[in-house]
Amino acid sequence: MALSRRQILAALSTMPGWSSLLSRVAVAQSVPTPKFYVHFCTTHGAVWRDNMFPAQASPETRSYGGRTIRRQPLQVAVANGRAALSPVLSGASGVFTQRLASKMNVIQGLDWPFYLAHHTGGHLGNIARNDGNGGDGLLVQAHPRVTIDQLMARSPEFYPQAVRQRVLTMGSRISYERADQNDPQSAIQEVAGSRDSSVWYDRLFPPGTMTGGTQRPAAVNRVKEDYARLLASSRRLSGADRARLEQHVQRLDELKGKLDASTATACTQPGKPAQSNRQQFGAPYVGDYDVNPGKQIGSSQMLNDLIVAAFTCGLSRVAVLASDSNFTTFTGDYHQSVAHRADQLAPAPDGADPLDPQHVLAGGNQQFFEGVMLDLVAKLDATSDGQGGTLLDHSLVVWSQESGNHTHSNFSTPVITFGGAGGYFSTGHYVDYRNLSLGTGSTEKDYPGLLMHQWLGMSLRAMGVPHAQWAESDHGGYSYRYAKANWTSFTTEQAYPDSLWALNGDDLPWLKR
Amino acid sequence: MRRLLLCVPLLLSCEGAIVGAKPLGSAGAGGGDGTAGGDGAGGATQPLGATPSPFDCTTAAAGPELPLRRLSHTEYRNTVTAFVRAALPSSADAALTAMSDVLTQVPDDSLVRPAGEAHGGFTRLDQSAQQATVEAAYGVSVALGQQATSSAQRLRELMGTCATDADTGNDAACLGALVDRLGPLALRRPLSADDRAFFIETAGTTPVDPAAVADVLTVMTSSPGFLYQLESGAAALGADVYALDAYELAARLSYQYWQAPPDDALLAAAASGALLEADGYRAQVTRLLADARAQPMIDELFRQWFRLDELGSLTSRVGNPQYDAFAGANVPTATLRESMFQDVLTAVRWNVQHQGSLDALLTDARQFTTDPELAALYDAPVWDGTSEPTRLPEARAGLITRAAFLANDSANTRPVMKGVRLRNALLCDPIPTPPPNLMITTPELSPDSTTRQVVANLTEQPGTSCAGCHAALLNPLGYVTEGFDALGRARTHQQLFASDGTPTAAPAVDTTAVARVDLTDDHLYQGPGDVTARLAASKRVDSCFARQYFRFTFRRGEDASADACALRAMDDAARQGSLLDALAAPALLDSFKNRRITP
Repeated sequence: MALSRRQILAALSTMPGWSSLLSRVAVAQSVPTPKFYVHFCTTHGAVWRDNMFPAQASPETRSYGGRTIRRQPLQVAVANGRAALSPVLSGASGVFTQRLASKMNVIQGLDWPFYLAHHTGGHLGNIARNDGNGGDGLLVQAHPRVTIDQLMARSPEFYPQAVRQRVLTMGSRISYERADQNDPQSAIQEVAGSRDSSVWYDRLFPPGTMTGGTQRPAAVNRVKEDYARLLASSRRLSGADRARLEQHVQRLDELKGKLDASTATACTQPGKPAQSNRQQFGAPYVGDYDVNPGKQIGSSQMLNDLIVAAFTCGLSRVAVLASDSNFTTFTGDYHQSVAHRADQLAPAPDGADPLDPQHVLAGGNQQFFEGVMLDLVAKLDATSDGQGGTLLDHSLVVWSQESGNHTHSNFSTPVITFGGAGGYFSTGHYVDYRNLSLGTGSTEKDYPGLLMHQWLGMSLRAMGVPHAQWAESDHGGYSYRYAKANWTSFTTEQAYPDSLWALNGDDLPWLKR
Repeated sequence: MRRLLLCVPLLLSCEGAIVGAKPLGSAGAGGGDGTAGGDGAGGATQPLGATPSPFDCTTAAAGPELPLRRLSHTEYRNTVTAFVRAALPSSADAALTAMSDVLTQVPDDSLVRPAGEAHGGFTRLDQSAQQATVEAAYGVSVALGQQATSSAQRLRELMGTCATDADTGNDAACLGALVDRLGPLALRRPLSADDRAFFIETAGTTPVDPAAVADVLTVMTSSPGFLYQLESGAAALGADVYALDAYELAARLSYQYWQAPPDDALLAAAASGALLEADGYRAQVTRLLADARAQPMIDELFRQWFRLDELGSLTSRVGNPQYDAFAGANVPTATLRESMFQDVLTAVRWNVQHQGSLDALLTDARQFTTDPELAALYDAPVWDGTSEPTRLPEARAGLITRAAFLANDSANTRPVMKGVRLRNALLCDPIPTPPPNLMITTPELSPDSTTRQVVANLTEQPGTSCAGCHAALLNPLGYVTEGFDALGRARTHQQLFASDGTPTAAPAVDTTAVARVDLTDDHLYQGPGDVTARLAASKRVDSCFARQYFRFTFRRGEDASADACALRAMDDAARQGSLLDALAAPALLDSFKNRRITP
């Protein structure tokens, strides 16, 4: 699966923004054959069904999990230079091609089976990271989970060799790991993230610290000996002190692996851009960044370029991103005046936007889809794997939202994917797993779907992480099992019976190749 | 059902009280010390005295101990800076500038809340040691070694001429001298023979080769004694409890107050044993707190306790016709937000430096801003930053009427959020979990009703699930400052605007409320002055400060039982002494000077 230098240079030259960086990436190395994972986590959600999903037209149906589920092929509608599956899932027709749509899946009807408001951890499986709104959210806070990106990152099957960065964590409060990788009972802690392109550039292409070049053995060996010396000494240490020191040694082992690996990487360090994304475009609370979608997209695209560079250089295979913006020009309180009013038809009371909150929300999500997600998948799809495919074919790129079609709704959180994960996924589908015989609400009704746990488990299998490394004791998917006692219009036994939990070990219908 | 369990006890007490609300000073309002002042408009006398401390110190016990404290982000940077300055007295600035990229790699600490808390928190509680933390620190150490040895001139500055002369016979001694000089700074204690030998052996057979010396510095500054507060204790005091030795104590003190390693005077006190004597110890605590280097810690403590950073951007709505009409001549600039923070922090600093108490800070209505933009919002002259500050216009009652406690990023006040902050941050009262499906929305500017009226209509309807908490716990504390708008300007009427900026009405604002500074207090407060006076007289803010400062100091949540005596001592210090006394209090605790070390 070796790429030719010409092939990759041709692909990289199509990338805007970081052309000065990427054009200097020497790509004589082989593009890694394994799989790649990217997950975009956006806040709020609350995009109405008709804005988010394609219109349903004579879908194929089948029975699954006690309900009738639906599927239809993804077919972009092109008009006036725009291609669309739905108002949100749309973009320039030159980019959002039918070819790209055929590598896509649109999934409707994946639920958290309890009220889950204001969470950032659920995207990747740690539902404990929520604000505790409502008793359900508070209850699940006691049951944290390592997020799936970190499960991939720590799996020897996923990363059989040391890698420069196991995960590019581009954002806060989305990625969680064990404090002690060797102790499955150790505390679960957040993995600190950054959306500063300069930080990630330096981590991927460290200035002089990881490129070898000295005849002396790396000092990290001696640092490790220093910690070992302390642990072996008679100095009084508590058990907890020792555990913490041993965790530090684990980190040093990881670092040593990276240092050793760096000398074997044939990717020549590219030049560092003069300005980071934050210097070029700004950041939250700085200037007009918060109300300027162009700047938000520009900043995000620089991170996309780094992801592509990291993947093509073999420096990482996982990236998770939390958005720092809403991709609208709305000048008011977005959270309360837009997201919390998503079902209202009147314009938001603050902010100058004449549109109602749903239009603002849908517009912002469309901007994200086109400016950020499509940008990345187009770049991955422009990178040949040398065998007739592209880097995107080896990837699973996911976009999930915080809520379903209502703000704070746990039902039917949209999951949009690109890439076949190396042939694991069948793509080009719009699937709808909702149980339309059960419904609650009025104008924009909620219907219970399949479980998000099932999707998370399928994602881990797709990336080759053995089940034994993430198995739950009480169901076959991933993340803590909990369901609300009853809903207004149906019971938990009706919506999420044990028989549905029993399906969690399955791949989702129609999506497995 | 869970929500009801949380809300009902509060609801029951509140509903009874609302019916029987009495104006302050009215007959039957109860006794009190009568020490508090009136409201900003010359209101009533407070009838109530101090509430008892919530911390019941019946049996002294050693609380749980944090395992191997990691230096905070700030502490680490300060420690690296101090080391570089010691290593390279002349070229430290250039070296640090060259290291700026790698220093940027060190992850920021996250705001961490103690278990069970839904709001607030301190970055000091972030004790996670992540891969990025370890890698960044290593990168910094490598860069430090490279910078210190990057030229013959730097080597001479680091080690003396022995590092670059032609005599190889003095190389070993040259390296030994370097290790003797910098090793104790890195480990913050005298080197053991084993430590010394280890660092020297790191260089291998070429003691003054630049790469070898760089490795020595890299290893030194990557050591556990550099990155963590390594505390093994000295004398055993009880089961698994040990007194810290003099150097460990010096480090605890310096990181507590300066967020930096001990200076020469502190190390000398440790070396002489003076630090282990009561007088010598107290003298060092006093010295550290009086030093300007304590200021960043005090700023961080109060900035995070008061949750100042929760204030959103003040400029995001500029250009909105309604907002522009509201702002009028005071359209906020990008620097106003920080000026509001500095106004509060300067008030803290002034009171710390002038022996003011926490109560004095609460009631301090002097003008501390040097920013003309904020001064204009206060309708007060700009302070010169040095002379005795003058009082703000009469409407200002103290801390809770400073702009940072009033402003938000809209044209509308947020009484609920103001109430939440006072209730939860200043009084440490828990806020019940919001009910499921709660869809908080910003109150709309009504064409003819005040924000208070709109909020009351939205959240206080009898029989609704909202009313119990909002009517009794949250809203009233926010209502009392409705005499100020969303930029913190004083007002008696609320000017309302249509979405196109056209003025619509200007109804009078109402600042009276049964604000329940004490949860069982059913007095009708007349405004912020009344409430401020009660906040001070009740001493509940002092107790809350003790709780928050305990968390900040010990970098963990409190154990209600085991830490009760420590909390009580800190509470007493805040209630009875100056802010300086309150800030010194934790260092005087046994639990600060001892450590539980359970094998």
